[in-house]
Amino acid sequence: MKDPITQQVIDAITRVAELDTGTVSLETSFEDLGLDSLDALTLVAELEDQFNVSISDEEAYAFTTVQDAVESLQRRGVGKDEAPETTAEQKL
Amino acid sequence: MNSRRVVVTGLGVISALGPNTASFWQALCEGRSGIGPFENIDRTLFRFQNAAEVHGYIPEAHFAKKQITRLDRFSQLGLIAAREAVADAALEWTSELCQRTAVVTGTSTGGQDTQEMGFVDLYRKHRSRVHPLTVPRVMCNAAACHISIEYGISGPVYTVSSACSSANHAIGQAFWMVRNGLADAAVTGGSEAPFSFGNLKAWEGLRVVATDTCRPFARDREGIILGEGGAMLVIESLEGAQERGARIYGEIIGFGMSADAYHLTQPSSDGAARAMRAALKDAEVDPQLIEYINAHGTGTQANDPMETRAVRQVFGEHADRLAISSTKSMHGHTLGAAGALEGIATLLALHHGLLPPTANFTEPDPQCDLDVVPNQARAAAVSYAMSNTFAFGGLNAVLVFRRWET
Repeated sequence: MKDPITQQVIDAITRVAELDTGTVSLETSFEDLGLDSLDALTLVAELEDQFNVSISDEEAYAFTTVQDAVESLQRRGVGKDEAPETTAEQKL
Repeated sequence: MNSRRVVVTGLGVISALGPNTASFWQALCEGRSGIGPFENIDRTLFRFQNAAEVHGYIPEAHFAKKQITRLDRFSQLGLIAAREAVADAALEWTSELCQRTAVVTGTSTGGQDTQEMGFVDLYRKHRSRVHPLTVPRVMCNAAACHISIEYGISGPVYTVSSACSSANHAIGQAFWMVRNGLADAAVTGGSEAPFSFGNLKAWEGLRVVATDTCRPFARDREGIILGEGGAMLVIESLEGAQERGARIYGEIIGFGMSADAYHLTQPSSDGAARAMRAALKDAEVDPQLIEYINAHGTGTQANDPMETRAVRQVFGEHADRLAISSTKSMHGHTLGAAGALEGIATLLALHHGLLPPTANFTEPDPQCDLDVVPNQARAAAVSYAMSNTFAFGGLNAVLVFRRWET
């Protein structure tokens, strides 16, 4: 069972990369998913919105795996309280 | 300098007249207008309610969702038109051809829609950021880049923005490059998606948009009707086209430009006439040979008498023997794409021997006393034709075409 933050990051990546559910894991690299730098920018913006955080340019460009994104969010204290629910719209 | 003949071997159009070139030409032949109430913006907030929109357009029918996030509507329309033109030309993309092909596109406002969505996010919704891909979506060269990337076209690729002359300037540059051996082929034309709330308000402010429809050259004309669309041509050297047995629609033989150097919005017949003369000189044809002009013909009080005067200045008595029509009466004024839609209308008129009419025509205006082919298409085997565009700022760009004789 994945923790809620990891699951939400995976859901966001699945949406941005237009992948089938279940194809993304914590260790998956963005390159393996066919995500280019523009997809990564879109993903970071989605994560900023979803978790109400601000991610620096330096850190955003350093994301290469799902794990990197999750750890970045955890460093910002995301997940210490109740994680936000993924909305139906976000799942589209 | 190595000067070659340049022919058109592929056409693509998406417009208010339909999703492809066939529907575009069919409507022009019937004199059928694509103008109607605009659908996606609250019409009650405007003094005008009609436009020439691409009806029933569904981006997902053409692009994957991921691609849509990178494409403003103007780029989508440009890419769709390019896909049709490239498929129509049946080019085989060898690595050599990719390197020897150019893409030159025109647009007036580029990704206006995306720009405004960003403004709504910032100033109305008070969000802290705009869409992360706003810059590459908004840039005027986006459509050209997407065409280049889709086909791997790696020769000269750029965009011209000169308001309503953008597409003719673009096609003219591409024509000259192929003629002079700087490229062997080009995908060239224009696209425009002007229907965002702020842009419509900007046009409303200029008080040049008709409240009902576009009636070029008619006494009771009220102004332009804004249109959206994309139109692209594949052009190549005659030698290359014949070598691969390509179907040829027609030949581009001349391009001329001028600036009025006079006024931001009031046109000057002297400037327009100089561009027409420059195009004729470039084409090395006698003015008497021109039998059809696809007019700039916006339907404004200012343009149509000015264009009539300019035609008389250039053609003298021959002006009474040639036909001139404005297809903007059907596909609307597509601004930076106008020259591309109208160039294709002109080429197809030569190709099919049928002159598209000036639709919605009511009664003649003594100041516009040319044969404007009112309301009904006319069969005419025409050998030479001209297509005019005259932009705000006084920027004029004119193309001359010749019928292809097999």
